[in-house]
Amino acid sequence: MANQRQGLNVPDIDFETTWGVLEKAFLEIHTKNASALSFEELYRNAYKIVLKKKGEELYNKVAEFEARWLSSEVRMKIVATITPPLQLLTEGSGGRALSSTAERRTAGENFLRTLKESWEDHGVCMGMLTDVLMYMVSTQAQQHAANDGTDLEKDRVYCTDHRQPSIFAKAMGLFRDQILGSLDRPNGTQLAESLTKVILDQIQMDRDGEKIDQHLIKANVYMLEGLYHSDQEVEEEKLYLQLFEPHFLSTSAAFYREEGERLLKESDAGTYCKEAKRRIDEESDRCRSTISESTTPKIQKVVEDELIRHKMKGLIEMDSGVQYMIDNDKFHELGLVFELESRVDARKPELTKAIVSIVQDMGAAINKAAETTSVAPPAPAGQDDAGEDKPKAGSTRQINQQTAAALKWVEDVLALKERFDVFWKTSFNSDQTISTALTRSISEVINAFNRSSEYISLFIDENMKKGIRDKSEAEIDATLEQAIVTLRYLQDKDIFETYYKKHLCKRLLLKKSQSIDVEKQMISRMKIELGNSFTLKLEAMFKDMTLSEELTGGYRSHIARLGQADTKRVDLSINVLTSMTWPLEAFRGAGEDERESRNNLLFPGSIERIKTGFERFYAERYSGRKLTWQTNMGDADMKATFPRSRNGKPMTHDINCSTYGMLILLLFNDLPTTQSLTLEEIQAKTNIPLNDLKRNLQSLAVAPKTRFLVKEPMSREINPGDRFRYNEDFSSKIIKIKVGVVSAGNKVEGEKERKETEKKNNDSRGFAIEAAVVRIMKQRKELSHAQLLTETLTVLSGQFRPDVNMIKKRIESLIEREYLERLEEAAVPSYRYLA
Amino acid sequence: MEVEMSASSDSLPAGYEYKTERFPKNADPLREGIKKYDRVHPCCMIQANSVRLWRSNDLSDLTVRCGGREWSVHRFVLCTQSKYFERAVEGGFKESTEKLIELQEDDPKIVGLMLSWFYNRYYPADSAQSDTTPDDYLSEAQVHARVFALGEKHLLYGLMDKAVDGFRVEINEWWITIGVAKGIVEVYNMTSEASNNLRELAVKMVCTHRRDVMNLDSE
Repeated sequence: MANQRQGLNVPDIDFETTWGVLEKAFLEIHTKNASALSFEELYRNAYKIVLKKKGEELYNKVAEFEARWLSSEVRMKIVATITPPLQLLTEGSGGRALSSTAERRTAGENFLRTLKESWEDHGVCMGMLTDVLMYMVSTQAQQHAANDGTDLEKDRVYCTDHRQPSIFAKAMGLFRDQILGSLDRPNGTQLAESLTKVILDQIQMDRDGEKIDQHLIKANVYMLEGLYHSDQEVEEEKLYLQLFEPHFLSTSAAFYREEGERLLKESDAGTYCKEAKRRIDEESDRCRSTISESTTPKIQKVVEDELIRHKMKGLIEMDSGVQYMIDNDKFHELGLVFELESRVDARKPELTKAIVSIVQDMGAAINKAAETTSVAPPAPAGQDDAGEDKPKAGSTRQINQQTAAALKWVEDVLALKERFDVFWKTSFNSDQTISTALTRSISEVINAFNRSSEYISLFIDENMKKGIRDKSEAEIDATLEQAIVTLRYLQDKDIFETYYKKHLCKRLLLKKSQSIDVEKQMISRMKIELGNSFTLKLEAMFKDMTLSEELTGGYRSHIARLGQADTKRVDLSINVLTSMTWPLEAFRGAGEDERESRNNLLFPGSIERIKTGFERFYAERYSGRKLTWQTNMGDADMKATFPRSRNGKPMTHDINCSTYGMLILLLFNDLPTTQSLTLEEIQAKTNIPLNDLKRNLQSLAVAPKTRFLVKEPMSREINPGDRFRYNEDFSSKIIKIKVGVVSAGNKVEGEKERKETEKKNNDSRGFAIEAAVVRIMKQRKELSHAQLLTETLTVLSGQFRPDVNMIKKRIESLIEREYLERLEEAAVPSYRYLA
Repeated sequence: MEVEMSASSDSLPAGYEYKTERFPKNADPLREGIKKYDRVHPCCMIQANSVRLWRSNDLSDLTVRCGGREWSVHRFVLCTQSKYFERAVEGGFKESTEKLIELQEDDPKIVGLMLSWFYNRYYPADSAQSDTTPDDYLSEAQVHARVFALGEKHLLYGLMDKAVDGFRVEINEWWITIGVAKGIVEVYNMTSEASNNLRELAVKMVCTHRRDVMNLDSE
C-alpha cells in the first residue's frame, strides 16, 4: 500500500481547499467544539501546506482569521459591557462622583469578567491552534535558525525570530491590537485605558473598605503582564508596565498625599503611625492578592514617600508629635515613629534631628536653671542646706547655693541622659544612629555650660565629703559611675583636671574625705576612662600623702632616738607636698604680695625649734630639696584652760585651730590676763598677712562659740586700732572645740578666682598647644596650615578642644621664636620645622 | 521539545553495561536485569521497563491505528518523547476523548518501526521486509529514508538521527547495490529540503564513487 503515502511526489494539494478545512476547524475551536475534530487530520493538513512551501501563506491566513475573529466577535462582547457608569468613569475627571459606588462596582466587575474570559478563551484557542500548526512553527524556527546561522541540529530550541513572531505571539499581539487597542465607541477611549481606570476605581473602593473581587483584577493584571507593547516581547515593554503601573503609582501617590495630610490634621501622631503602617502592609498585600508582586517595592516606595518621607517632619512637629510623646513617656508611640522612619531611611534624619533638638532644649533648660540658682539671691525655700549657721557671711551662703546648683545640675544632666537611654532602649530598639546622636547632643548640653568642669568636680567633691557617708558599696559604685558618665561627655578635660586637683587637694589636706579607698577607686576609674597621663598628677598627690605619713613617723622616732623626751615639746605632723603637683593656690585667698610675708612668720621659740628641727631632719634625708612652709594651711591642737568655763569652774579645752590662730593665741599665753594687744601689735609680733590675721581674729574674738579673746570695741569687723585681750569669762560645755576660720570655703569659685583659673588654664593650654605643634612639625618637617590645624586638634582632643585662634597665635609665636618658618614658595600656607 | 530518555550505552557510567540482546526472548527483562546485574543503573531499569511494555499490552492506555493495523501503546512512553503525541492526546481534540490516534495516510510498516523506536530507542530495519511480496520489497536504505520522513513529520528528532545513522551504514557499505539507489530516490522524493542530512550523505557518496556510479547507471 505504498502509494498511500504522502510525499513530495504526490500531486499538488490545493491550498485554498486545505485552508478551508483548517479555517472551518478553527472556527469550531473558537466556538468550543474542538472535541469533535481530529487532531491528526488538522495536523496533517497543516503539514502538507508547509511541505508545499506555503507556510508563509498559512501563517498570514491564520493571523487574518484571528484578527477578524477578535475585532468582530470578541470585541463586541466586551464593548457591550461598558455601561453608562463605566463610560462616565472613563470619560474624565469627575466620573467617579457621578455614579454610585455599587453601580460602578457591578459594572466594573462585569467588564473585568468579560475581558478576563475573552482573554482566557483566546489563550486556550491559540494553544490548540499552535498545536495543530506545530509543524509550521517548527519549520519556521528551523528557518530562522538557518538564517541566523545557529546550528539547529545541535540545539533544537525554539527560536524567537526578530522579523516574524511565532504564531502564538502574533495572536497575543492581535489581542492587544484588536481588543485593548480598540476604542470602546467612536471617539471613545481605548479599552486598555478603560481597563486601567476600572481597575484603579476598584482598588480605590478596596482602599475605602469596600469588598471587591480581587481574583478578577488579578486575572486582568495577569493578562497585561502577558502582553507586550511590540511583538518583540521585550521585558520592559510589558503592557502592565506601560499602561497600568504608572497610573496606579501616580493615583496612589495622590491618594496617599491627601490621606497623609488629612491624617496629620485630624488625628494624633500615634494614630498616624499605626495608620501609615497599616496602609503600607495593606498595599503590599494588595500587590500579592490583587495586582502584581513586581509592583510591591514600587508602591511601597510611593506610600513611604507620601506617608512617611514627606510627612515625617510634619508628623514629628505635630502637637501630639515627638515632643509630646517624650514629655508623656509614650514609649510605644515613639517606637512607632521610629519604626516608620527606619523604613524609609536607615539614618532616620528627621527623628534624630527632633530628638537632638529636644535633648538640647531640655539640656539648655537645665543649664539655665543652674545658672539662675547660682547667681540668684538666696532663695527663701528649697535652698536650705542643713546646718547652715546664720552668722555666716552672705558670700558663704551664696557659695553653698552654688554647690547645691552644681549638684542639681549634675543630677539633672544624668537624669536627662538616663531618661533618653530608656527611650533609646525601649522605643528606638537600641539604634546605633540615635545612640550617636544622643551622645552628641548630651555632650553638647554638657559642654554648652561653661561651668560644667567645675560642677562635675564639685559633684564628686560633695559626694566624697558627705554623699557617700551612709551608702552601700554598690551605691557608691553607682555614684562614681555617674560622675564618670558625665566626665565622658566633657570636652575640656584639662579644666576639669584643674578643678579636681584643687578639690582633691583640699579634701586630702583638710582630711575631709570620707574614704581614701573610694578616692582611689575614683582615680582608677578616671585612669580607665581618660588615660594614664590624666591621673598621673592626681596619683602623685596620694603618693605625697603616704610619704608624708612615713616622714612624720620617721621624724617622731628620730626625736625619740635623740632622747629629747620633752613632754612639753610640740608634736609635729607634716605633709610634704611636691610643689608642682599640688594646686596650693587653692588656699591662697589673696594675691601674690602676701606670699613673701608668709614666709617671714615669727614663730614663738618652741615652734621655731621644731621647725628647724624638722628642716634639719629633712635635709639629712633628702639633700638638695628646699622646704617651703605653707603655714596658712596648717592647723594646731592646743590645750587651753579657762577659769570659769564650766559653771564658773576652770576647765581645760582641746582647741583645734589654724596655725595662725595658734600663733595669735600663744601671744596671750605670756601676757597678763588684763593686758590687751592692738591689731597692729599682733601683726608686728607674728607677721601674719593682714587679711589672714583679720579672718583669724574674727573667728577667735567674734564667733560666739569660740570667743577666746575679747575685742574692743565689740563689732563684727576687725579694724585697725582694735584691741584684744584674753577672755577670762569664756565658757563652753564642749571639751573639744574646733575653730572654724571664716574663709572662702571649698566651694564654687568666685568671679575673681574663676578668672584666675581661666587665665591659668589658658596658659597651660597654650603650652600644650605649642608642645603638640612642635611635636607634629618635628615629625613631619613640612606641613600645610590646614593639616597642621587638624592634626593639632586631633592630638589634643583627649584633653580639650582648643580654640583655633589660640592655635594660630601659638604658631605665630613659635615662628617668632624660630621653631618654625613659613614656606614662601608653597601654594597653600605651609610651615617648615627648624631644627 | 523532545524528552531524551535514551539509555544508550555510551552515556552510561563505567561499570554498567546494557544490551537488549542479552535478554532471553521470553524472560522478563526487568527481573533478568536485576538477577544478572546486582547494580542496575536507574536508566537501565527504565529502559528495561520500556522494553517489557513494548512486548506486552499491559497497562496500555492508547491505541494507534494505521492502515488496518493497531498497536496498544502507552501514553507515558509516547507523550513524554513526542510533542505531537502529547498534544494529540492532551489537546482537547477528538483523540483526547477516544484515546485513539489514527494515522490515516502513513505506511503501517514504518509506523510500526517508529513505535518500536519509542520503546527501544531502536528499530529493526530489516523487519519491514519480512512479510512482503517482491512487489513492495523495501531495501534497508529505503526503510531508513521513510523512517526519516515519518520522524520529520512528527518532529521526532531522535528518530531522525537514528535513521540517518542507519542510512549512513547502508550507503557506505552497500553503495553499489540497487537497494541503496532506491533509497536515494526515496530520499529525494519524500523528505523536505530543510537541513536534510540524508541528501548530504547521498551527495557525498555519489562524489566519492562517481565513476562507479556512472558505470552502474550505464548498466
